[in-house]
Amino acid sequence: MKPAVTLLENILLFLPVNYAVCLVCSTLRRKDMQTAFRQGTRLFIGMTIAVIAGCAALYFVMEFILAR
Amino acid sequence: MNTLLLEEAMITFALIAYLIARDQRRGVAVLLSWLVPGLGHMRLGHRSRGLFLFAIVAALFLAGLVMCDFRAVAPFAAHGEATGRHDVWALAQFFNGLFFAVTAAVTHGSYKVKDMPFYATGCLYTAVAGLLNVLVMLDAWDISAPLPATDLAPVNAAAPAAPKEGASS
Repeated sequence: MKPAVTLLENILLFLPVNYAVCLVCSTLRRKDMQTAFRQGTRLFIGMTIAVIAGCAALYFVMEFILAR
Repeated sequence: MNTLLLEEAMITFALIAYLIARDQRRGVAVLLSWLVPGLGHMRLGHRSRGLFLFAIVAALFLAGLVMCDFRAVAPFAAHGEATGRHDVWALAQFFNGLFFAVTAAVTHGSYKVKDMPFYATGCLYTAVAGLLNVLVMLDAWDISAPLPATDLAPVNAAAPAAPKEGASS
């Protein structure tokens, strides 16, 4: 059965939410908006890489456990 | 009837009323931030910050509505009428304030239909926009706080005289 939403679509839809959360969180307690924007973008890139890497690692670990 | 939403609304308004009673200027900024994201910041004089936060929250909420064909906000739909959705989404969407109220009023009666693959994602977008607005409200209260006394320089303190260049000891 074809899934309603593919994995790529899921990842692509996750990115704007992640970016919005990172931008708002980096704005708190910061006076300079340009610095907040730059920090937010850096946080977004780091978090995206961490989440995708973490999920991929979890997938392979689960596959290994289930294959045994 | 979504009684959880009504209880949440009562608690939120009671908290905002308490904040207004405690400090009117800051409390009103929090209320305005709930109504329209970033409006409290603009009222306090932080115009660029308010516009920035408004753009992010509004864009996220609008994107969620578009993904759901404007059927994401139905706070008082009974479970039988709105198949496949849960009233809990409204608990987070509530913090969008005016956006939530206007959308609920305008789209009343239009619920989820079959074959909407991005329905859950759209509901998530609108809910996250609401939760981000909670942070915006907290920020409005925080940035309007008066500075602690230790950070203020004494008003009448005379500045020490700068040493002259080439002065002999």
